[in-house]
Amino acid sequence: MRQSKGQSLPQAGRPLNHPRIAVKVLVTDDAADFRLYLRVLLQRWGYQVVEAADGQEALACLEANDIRLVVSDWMMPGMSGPDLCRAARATDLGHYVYIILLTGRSDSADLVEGLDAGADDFVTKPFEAQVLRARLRVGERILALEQRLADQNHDLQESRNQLASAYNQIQADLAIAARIQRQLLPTTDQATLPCRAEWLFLPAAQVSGDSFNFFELTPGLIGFYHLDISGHGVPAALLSVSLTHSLVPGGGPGVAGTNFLDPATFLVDLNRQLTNRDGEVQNYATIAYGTLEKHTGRVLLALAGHPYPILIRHDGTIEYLRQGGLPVGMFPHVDYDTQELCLDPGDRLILYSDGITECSDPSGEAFGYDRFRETLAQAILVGGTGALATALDRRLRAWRGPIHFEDDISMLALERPLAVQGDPPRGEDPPTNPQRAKP
Amino acid sequence: MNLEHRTQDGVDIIKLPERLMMADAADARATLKEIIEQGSGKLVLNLTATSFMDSSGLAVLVSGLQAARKRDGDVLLVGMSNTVRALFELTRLHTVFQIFDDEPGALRAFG
Repeated sequence: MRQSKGQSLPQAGRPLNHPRIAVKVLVTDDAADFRLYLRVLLQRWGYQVVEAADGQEALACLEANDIRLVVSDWMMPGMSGPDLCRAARATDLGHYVYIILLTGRSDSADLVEGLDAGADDFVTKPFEAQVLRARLRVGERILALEQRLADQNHDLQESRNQLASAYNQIQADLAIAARIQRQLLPTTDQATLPCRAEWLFLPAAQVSGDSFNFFELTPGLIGFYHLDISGHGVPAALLSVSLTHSLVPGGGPGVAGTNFLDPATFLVDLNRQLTNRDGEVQNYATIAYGTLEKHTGRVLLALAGHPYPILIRHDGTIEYLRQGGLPVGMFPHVDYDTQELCLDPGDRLILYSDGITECSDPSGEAFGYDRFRETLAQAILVGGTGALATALDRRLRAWRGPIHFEDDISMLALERPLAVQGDPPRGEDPPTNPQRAKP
Repeated sequence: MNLEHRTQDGVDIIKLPERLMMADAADARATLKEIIEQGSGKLVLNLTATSFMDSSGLAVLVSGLQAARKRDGDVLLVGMSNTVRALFELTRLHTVFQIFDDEPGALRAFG
């Protein structure tokens, strides 16, 4: 167990890390009587003493044992004190070794040689016992600092590893969440036939607070929604996924008492379900929910604080559908209106999130409604499958530049194509289809 | 968050920061809540300096409004910039909040 941080520095003769184990000192001297003298002295001060008769033996001792404090003679046959310092410094012992050289030399050239070799301190022979004791205490203080630094580095490294592993885990989880979320989006516009649908989905983070879908409610009638949860990232995505289960019939427990056929009532129920009783608003959503009679183009639509849907008529005229109530999830009792409109052949209804109009370019300028409208109008002229989504995707990416999108971007476009062969004329009863298509 | 806050005629007048976005929403929420609990529940929020507000900022204001009304108070907004006003109109929240041009107007409304 490592010592706790902020512990006071150990006293001389007290161990560095383990209060009951004495600090080991390696005494290196070729003179056995001097080693004995030092042993007695050091043991009296509470140290545990290991002896070596020369540098070579001392080095072997350092490599074999956890010894951090060395008192070594300078002059020894074979490997001298400075040689021992150099060898110890060149060896990776896994920790710092504090070396005090005992020497009869005192001129500065010798001092420099010893320091350059890697000695930490000198005690000049003959020495006073109290001086050696004080030098040993200095050594212990420095070793304690070194130990604390090593511990902190170890802790830092460990935290870094934990952070990196948590981050990788989060990234992996997000990737899975993003996949799940994309699975909740439509894959084909089969359910809308003979009408057509196309869409664009560009999440700001990996996961998104935007969501949209359409599904067959009864033969010939589809329900559709586009929603934007306040905020983005994980919390918004979680709510978006859970809402998706409420919003698609048969997709989950559903909104209690929901009437999918009556958009205003649908939003009233949804709002009641989302609103906190205590008045704290954490997450709320703006949403457009509607139904479309596929063969007549009759649309019932209700809006909750959502960006005004755009109606693009077949002749190019553009209308904003401005009616609507407050976002869902803010106030306990809110009324919504259902508005009725008709998609004539060639008309399109565009639902979108404000991530599009507020998407800013590098200078901070918002993409805005004009460019949005103009992009859609040009794409309609070009025509083709998915023309609107493709054009908007390209235009927004060019507008934004290399930076990530700041907010989720999504658009759902419903189109009632110009009459084609086999399309029943308006007003005729839709063909009955006992099989409900899953979105 | 240190919001500039003073009290006049029993009304708490609070100056909102330049940005009221996701990152600082939690702080602003806590500060407003504290002011509402300790004061009369009558609040004037000055948005003159506020040029950026996102959905999290809106959530804070709506939470404040509901807390204040629970105490028979209200939250009146003054000095709204065009961009913030557009956000309120888009979400139809301008139908819920009383919005004034300046502080004296809002204070008169509290009577």
